[in-house]
Amino acid sequence: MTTYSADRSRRQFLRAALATGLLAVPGSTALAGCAGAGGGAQEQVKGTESETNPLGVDANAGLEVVLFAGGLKTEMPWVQKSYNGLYPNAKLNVTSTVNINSLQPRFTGGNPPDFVNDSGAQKIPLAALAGAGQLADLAELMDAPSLDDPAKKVRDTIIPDAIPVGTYDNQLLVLNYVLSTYGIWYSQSLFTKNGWTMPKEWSEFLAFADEMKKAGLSPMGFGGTNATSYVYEMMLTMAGKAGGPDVVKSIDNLEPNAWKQDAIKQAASAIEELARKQGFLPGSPGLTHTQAQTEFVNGKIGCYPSGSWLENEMKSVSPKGFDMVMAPTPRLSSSDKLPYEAVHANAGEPFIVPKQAKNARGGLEFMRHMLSVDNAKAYSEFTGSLTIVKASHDKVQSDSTALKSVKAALSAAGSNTFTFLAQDWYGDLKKNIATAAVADLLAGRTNADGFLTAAQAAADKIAADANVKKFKRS
Amino acid sequence: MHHRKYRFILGILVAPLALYLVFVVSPNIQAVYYSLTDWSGYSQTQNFVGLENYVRLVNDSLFWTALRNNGVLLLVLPITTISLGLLFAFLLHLGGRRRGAVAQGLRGSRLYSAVYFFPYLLSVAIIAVLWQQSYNPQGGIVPRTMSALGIDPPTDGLLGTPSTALWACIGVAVWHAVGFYVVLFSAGLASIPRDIFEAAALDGVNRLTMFFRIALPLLWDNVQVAFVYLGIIALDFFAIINIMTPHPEAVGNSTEVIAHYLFTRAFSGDANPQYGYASAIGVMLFFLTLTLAAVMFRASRREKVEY
Repeated sequence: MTTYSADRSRRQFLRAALATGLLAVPGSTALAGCAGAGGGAQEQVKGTESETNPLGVDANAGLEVVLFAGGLKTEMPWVQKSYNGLYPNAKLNVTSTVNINSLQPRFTGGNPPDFVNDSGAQKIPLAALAGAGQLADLAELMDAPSLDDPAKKVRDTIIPDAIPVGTYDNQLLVLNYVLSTYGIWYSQSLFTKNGWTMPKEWSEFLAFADEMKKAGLSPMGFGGTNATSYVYEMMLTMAGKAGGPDVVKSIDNLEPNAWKQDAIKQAASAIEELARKQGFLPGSPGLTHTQAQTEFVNGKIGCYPSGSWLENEMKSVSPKGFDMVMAPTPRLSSSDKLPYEAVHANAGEPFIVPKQAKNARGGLEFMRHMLSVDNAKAYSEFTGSLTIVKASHDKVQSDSTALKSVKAALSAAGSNTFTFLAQDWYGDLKKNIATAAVADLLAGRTNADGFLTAAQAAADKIAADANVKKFKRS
Repeated sequence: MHHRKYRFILGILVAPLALYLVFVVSPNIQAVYYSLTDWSGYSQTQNFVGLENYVRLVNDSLFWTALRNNGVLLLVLPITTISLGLLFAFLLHLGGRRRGAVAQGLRGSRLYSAVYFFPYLLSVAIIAVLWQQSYNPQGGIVPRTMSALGIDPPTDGLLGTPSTALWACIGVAVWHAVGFYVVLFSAGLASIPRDIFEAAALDGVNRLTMFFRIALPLLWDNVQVAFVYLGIIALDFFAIINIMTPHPEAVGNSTEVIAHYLFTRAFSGDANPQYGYASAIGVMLFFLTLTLAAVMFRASRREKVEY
């Protein structure tokens, strides 16, 4: 689960195409801007391997890096400097764009850039690139010595949760660099003022919800027009804590009756009960996630389920002294398989090396530099987000209450972190379960049983659809 | 002499024609070809699958839902917009006080037409974002106005309730388009010789009759063009939907339209892209639009009045 940001607009693309058709031809013209004819494979450069150059980078070859100019926008000058420190003659060409999908013809044409941050609303679907064999295998990078300590492999410097997320058909193809941690967010100053503490169990949370209502707050809220998936996230996290990570793994693997598991049923019933008790801000189904989050920082919503980017995203509108912090999602009961401290943590923000890139080895090397402790620390301090580089967490200096709470939650969780991937693998799962079915449940158009039935039917349909490439995890 | 004329015309036409061939005709042909393949959009090769995508499309209930919503738009959007446009244009021209035999335009009619036209100058994207704020169930101006008028706005918000979401979007489209048609019809009315209205007024014709028996028939050409344009907008309707209800499935697919569904299948960053299938949707949309234009022109053909 990368960021659940609103998918705004590939409409620029579509509209530009429409404009050329002017009158009659909306749809078909739109598709045609991107011809599929392929060019031949281009020659790839390679240098000699050595102790300092384990990947065999051509020291004189230029490197084309395309980054995403979104919420975490940075051209990572520290990484560029680090790369040029080893290869002073390599000319780096670093650009940023919000429309990564504009690279599509370069992939189909066989001349992609050497390194891409495939992110944002206009990202190229990773499953599609993986399925089309467009991505370089990162195994070689993982087995290479790390930049900081030649005795340590890169693989051993990153958190293990980053591996399954980027793995497609047993090959690690995507480096998800940023560690997103999910939980329930609240204002520490508001809670202190009211003498509140975040409950650890759902039954306590329901009682606490009544208390928040008495104080004039809506206990929770969400952006229904584009971000019901935040509630989906909360539901699956509760289910994963109740029944253990296998519960969400079986959902990812589209196993028969995965949605009928008891833990899922409990979690869905919990959401249904909160919705029925008016636990969500009235009107939430008609809000965008930004509008809902604005209500949150304006003190109309007490608790908001989201991920570790939230503070940064709302920085410009949060009142001073709001002190946003995150607590783990409450557990369903004391008989949960995982402790309360368990959190849903997921590596996000995908970086890739196109397989056909001229200087693919340089792309891998650029990644190796990103994964050094100092460079990861610089990234975290610039963006306020932790990375998958374990050793960098303790070094990050920040005044952010959010970042501190996330670090504390991660260290309290220890090895009890888990993630779920099906909503990123299967567009129709996100569409029909994380959005449609959850929205129906929240608006009271269905109950928990109806939700489970709809979800199972949607999952079965994907499992049976020969046109959708399937992925497995263990 | 003639030779030179043709060479001149050809010289002028060659560049635009080439652009048209490259950027309009050839992409359309390519789209038809892709619709017969299983292309994901990101591979260098694609397999020919014949009409399989079209068979899937016919069995895809979401496609039919989208088609139905486009049908609603097609019925509602042109008629509402044109009716309002005609009404406003007529009022601007003949809605004012009688002066002499025939009524004048409303006082300040120039200001009004500028005001009506203003939304049309803004891009649809800006309009949609503005209205998203106005529809905000937490204190937006629309739900507040509704409450003040004694109508209970839906609790889940106009955009969050399946029974109102599409209508909320149609409202935005009408608001956006109406100004353009006011100006179009005003120009049409201005070109009708004033003595026709004067003669009618002298014969004691009231304004309602004047509108239906004189103004409307003489504006028929304009109205016909308006129907075709608005029909095309109704068949597309992508931008407003994609901004105001980016996830139509959150409101029971009540706002899903064909162009947005095409986009979901082709580009949506987190879906499994299927350019082949999306192209098939595009080709269907192309023929629908073409048919619509043909039918509209056929059905509304009338004899032209010469003044």
